[in-house]
Amino acid sequence: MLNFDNVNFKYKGDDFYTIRNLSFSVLDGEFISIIGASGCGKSTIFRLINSLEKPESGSITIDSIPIHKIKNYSSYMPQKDLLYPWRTIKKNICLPMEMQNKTKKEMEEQSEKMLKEVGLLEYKNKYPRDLSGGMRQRVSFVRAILTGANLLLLDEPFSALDSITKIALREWLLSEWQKYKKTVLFITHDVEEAIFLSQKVFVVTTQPLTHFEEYEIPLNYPRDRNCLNTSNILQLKEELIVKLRQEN
Amino acid sequence: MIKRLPSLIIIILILILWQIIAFVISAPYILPSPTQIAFKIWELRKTLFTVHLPATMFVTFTGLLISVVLGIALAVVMDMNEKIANALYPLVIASQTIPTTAIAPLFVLWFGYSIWAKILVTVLITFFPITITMYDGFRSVKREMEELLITYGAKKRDIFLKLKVPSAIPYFFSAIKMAVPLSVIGAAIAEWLGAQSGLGYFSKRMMTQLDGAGVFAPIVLLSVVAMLIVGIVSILEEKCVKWRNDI
Ligand SMILES: Nc1ncnc2c1ncn2[C@@H]1O[C@H](COP(=O)(O)OP(=O)(O)O)[C@@H](O)[C@H]1O
Ligand SMILES: [Mg+2]
Repeated sequence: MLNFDNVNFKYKGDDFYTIRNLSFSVLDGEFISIIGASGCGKSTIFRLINSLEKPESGSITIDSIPIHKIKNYSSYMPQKDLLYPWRTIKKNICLPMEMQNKTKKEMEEQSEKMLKEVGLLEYKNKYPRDLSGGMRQRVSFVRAILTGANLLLLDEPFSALDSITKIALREWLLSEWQKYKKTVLFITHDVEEAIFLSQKVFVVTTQPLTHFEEYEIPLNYPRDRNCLNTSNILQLKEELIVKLRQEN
Repeated sequence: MIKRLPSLIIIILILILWQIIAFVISAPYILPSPTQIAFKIWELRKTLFTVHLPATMFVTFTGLLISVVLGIALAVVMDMNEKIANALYPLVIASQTIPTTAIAPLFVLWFGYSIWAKILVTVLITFFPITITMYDGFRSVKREMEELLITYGAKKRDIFLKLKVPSAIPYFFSAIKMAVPLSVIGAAIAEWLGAQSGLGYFSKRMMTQLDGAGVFAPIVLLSVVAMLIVGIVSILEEKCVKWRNDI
C-alpha cells in the first residue's frame, strides 16, 4: 500500500508550495486515475514517489516503510516513450534489468517472453523509429513492467496518440493490468479516459495541491467502450467536467 | 548520385572556366591550368605519393589522434565537474578567436623543425573545437531520459556509459569531420614554415623555383585527400548513427 502522510513540497527556487499537507493512500492492485488542470502538480506527485524530488516534510511510505529505505518499488512511464534510438526494441526493454545487474540469460528470457505476450516479438531487433507511436508506447509499457516494480506510475501515456490508437491502447492497458496485477496510478486530463480505466478517480481542485476529491467508478471489469454510455456514467462524466471547469 | 549531379556540373564548369582563364593569361607561374596541374601531379607522382604525402598525413593523423584523445578527456572532465566547466568553457570559446595559424611560427621558434613542432600546430588548431563539440554532445542528453534512467536505479557511471556516450556519438563524427580539414591545414602551414618534407614544404620549394603548377600540385592533392577522408568518415557515420535524427 502506498501512503502519503502530510506531505509538503516546493520546487527549489519557488516561494510557494506545489503540494501542501497532502495525505492519501492507494491499495495494492488498485487502478486510480489522477485528473486535474495542467500545472496543478500531478507529475510532481510522481516525481516524489520515484524519489526524483524529496518532500520538505511529511512521509511517503510503501507498506509502512519509508520509500528512501526501499528500492525498485515503483516504475515510471512518461508521455513521451523516451526509448533510446540507438538501442533495438529488445535492448530498450532490457534497460531497467541492466540497472539491476541481471544476467544476460535472464534478460534474454524475460524480454523475449514479454515481447511475445504483447505481440511485438517480431520487432525485437527493430529500432524505435521503425515502430508506430502506439507500438512504441506499448514497448515503453513493457519496459516499465520489466522493472519488476509493483507500482506503475503512468503519466499521460496516451495523450500524444491519435484517438483510434488511444481507444485500442486503453483496452489493451486494462487487460495487461488484470494480467500482471500491478497497482496503477494513471495521470490524464481526459475525463472519459479516467472513467473508462479506473476504479477510482482522484480529482485535483486546489492550488497548491492539498487533497484529492475521490470518485468511485461504479463499473466492473472487464469493460468495453459501451460501458461509458449508461446514464449514471454519463452523469458522472458531466459532474467531473463541471468540477474541472470550476477551477479554471 | 543524382542529388550530387548539380554540384558536379558546377565543379566541371569552374574547371573549364579556370582552364580558359589560365589559357588567356598564359602565365603558368601565376595561374597554371587544371590540366597543367594534373600533369604535374602525374610527373611528380613518385616523390609526392611516397615521400611528401605520407609525411603530411603522419603529422595530420598524429595531431588529430592527440587532439581527439585529449579533447574527449577534457570534455568528460568538464561534463563531470560543473565548476571546471564554468571556468574553462568561456576560455575554450575565446580561444577560438585566436588566429592559431599566426601563432604557428612560435612553435617553430620553440621546437625547431622537429616533427613535434608540426604536430603541436595541428593539435593547437583542432583540440578546442573537438573539446567543445564533444562537451556539447555529452550535454545534449535529454533531461527526461536521464531522469528515467535514474528511476531505474542508475548510478553516474551508468548514465555516462549508457546515455551520454551514445548521445555523443553523432557529435563525435561532426567533430572529426570538422577537425580533419583543420588538421590538414595545420600540418601544411607548419611544413610551409619549416620542414624537410611534406606537401607544405614541397609547395614552398616549388614557389622559390617559380613553378606555378608545382606549387598547386601538392595543394590540390591535399584538398582531395582531405575531402576523401571526410567522405569516408561520413560513410562510417551513416552506418553508425542511423538514429541521428530520431531523438
Ligand atoms: N523542475 C521544476 N522546477 C520548478 N518548478 C517546476 C518544476 N517542474 C514543475 N514545476 C512547476 O510545478 C507545478 C506543477 O507541475 P507538474 O507537477 O508538472 O504539473 P502537472 O503534471 O499537473 O501538469 C507547475 O506550476 C510547474 O511549472
Ligand atoms: Mg504533468
